[in-house]
Amino acid sequence: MIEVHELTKRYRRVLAVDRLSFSAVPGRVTGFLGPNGAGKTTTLKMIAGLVKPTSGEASISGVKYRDIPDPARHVGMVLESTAAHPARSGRANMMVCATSIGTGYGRVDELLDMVGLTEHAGRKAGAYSLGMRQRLTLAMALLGDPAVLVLDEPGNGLDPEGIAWLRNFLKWLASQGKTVLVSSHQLSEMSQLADDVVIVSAGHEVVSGPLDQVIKGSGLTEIRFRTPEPERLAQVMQGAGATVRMDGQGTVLVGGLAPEQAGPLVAAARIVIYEMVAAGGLEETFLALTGHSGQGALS
Amino acid sequence: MASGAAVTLLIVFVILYGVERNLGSGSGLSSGPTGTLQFGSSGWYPYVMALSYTYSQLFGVVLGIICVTGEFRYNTASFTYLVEPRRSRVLSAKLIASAIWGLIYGVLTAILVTAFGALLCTVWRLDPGAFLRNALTYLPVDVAGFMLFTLIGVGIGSLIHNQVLAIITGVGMITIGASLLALISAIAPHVVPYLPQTALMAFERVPQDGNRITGGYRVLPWWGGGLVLLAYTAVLAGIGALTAQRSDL
Repeated sequence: MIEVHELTKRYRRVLAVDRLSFSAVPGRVTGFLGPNGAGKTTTLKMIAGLVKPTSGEASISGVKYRDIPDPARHVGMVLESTAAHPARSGRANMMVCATSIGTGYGRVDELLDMVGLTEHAGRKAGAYSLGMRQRLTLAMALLGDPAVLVLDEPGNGLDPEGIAWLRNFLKWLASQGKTVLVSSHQLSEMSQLADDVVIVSAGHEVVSGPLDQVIKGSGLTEIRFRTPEPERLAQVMQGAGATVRMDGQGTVLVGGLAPEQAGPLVAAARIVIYEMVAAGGLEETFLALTGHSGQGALS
Repeated sequence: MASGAAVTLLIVFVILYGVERNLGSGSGLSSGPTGTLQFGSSGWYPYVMALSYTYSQLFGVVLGIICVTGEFRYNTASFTYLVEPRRSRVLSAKLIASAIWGLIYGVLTAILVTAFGALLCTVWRLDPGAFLRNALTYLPVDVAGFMLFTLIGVGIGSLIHNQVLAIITGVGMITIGASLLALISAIAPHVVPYLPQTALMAFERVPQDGNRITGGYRVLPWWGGGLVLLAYTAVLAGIGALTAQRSDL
């Protein structure tokens, strides 16, 4: 379990992280979301003891990272700044790590195979693509078979197949009872991966909790109906206290009601619908809560 | 291939640089003022061995710097600190590892310099055996001198993480420091024996008879020079350890 309590980091005049508190629990994937400069990487580095907090503390299973005996056997970190040595082959990097951690070489080939790098294990890491380097650093982090895994933007550089693989792999790790904390700005991906989310903006927490509750709690869920009777549908929904928007071409957007509430209303009014889709989700919630208004803010 | 050629050229440069500094000026081998030492006489033995003085400073300090700053250049420092978060222990391990590498390179340097001297003996038809016996008295301190400057390099690297900047600082300290010796000697002669260059001169018993670099400076006994170098290492490593504790990655 990762616990962050009132964590603060100030760089001279810049307040990078402001009294941030959250936890990531075993058996679940916790998504750590925020726009660029929100303090995500700084926070993860403070958890790992690479950056010294101005105040507050972070602990893993109740112990500060630097006080954990053989920390790399308990916590696997994949940070932007943790890199494989470019002049060493993938396998050599793994062997150096195994020696440093003290795990022996037994899992080196197994993990290279697991991340799909067996064919490229003899190549220098400097010649790897960004996605291959991500896979290698993930394999390095897993060498100690840690119970806690912290990953900073692990999907960067991965192709769609790699992203799907990573998603399934991290979900599988969580299902094994491991604590998985993942920072990302790939919101659509995170909505498929995370069980819990922590959304930060400008260094402070905006909202945290189980993903579905956060989305529901934002009140930003909309249901998109396509119907030949938009006016009747709008009337029924407004009667139930919902907000309604119409595009004039048969599409009605209903806000403030859950699909479980809207569906029976439509059935009771015997309104014909061609389509009913729960729109809105993590991305809309994120954009609204962090005050950002487009993909540019997320890139 | 290219790096091998560069290293070879660097070695040739350092040999020529060392010959020029230690033999070529003021020692009587060219047109120096004393005129007491001639090519082909056994008096030049210590000067050949003093080549390692130049080697020790340049290669030793660069080796030590690379041992530390390579981690930051290739971004492997984060992983190292994740495996061992107690940074003073990491620095201690680097000091030990660098000392071992310094020892190995010091031995290689001593072999190279001795071979160079033996070659000169052959060219000048001197007795190589006499040279080698003389060389044996210098080799241990030459090797230790290389090791100590490697440790000083580790200290510099622990303070300046940027590899290029650290190497420029280390090499600059040696080259500019050497050219400033005369000035420092004039302004504050009591400081001179405690400068890294003069401490190494003392430790490696570099001849003190009017050589452009060494001439006229008061130096400590050889063991005093060694202690001064150790003190430099301790101070630099101590500050480096404190800096490492506080610095963010």
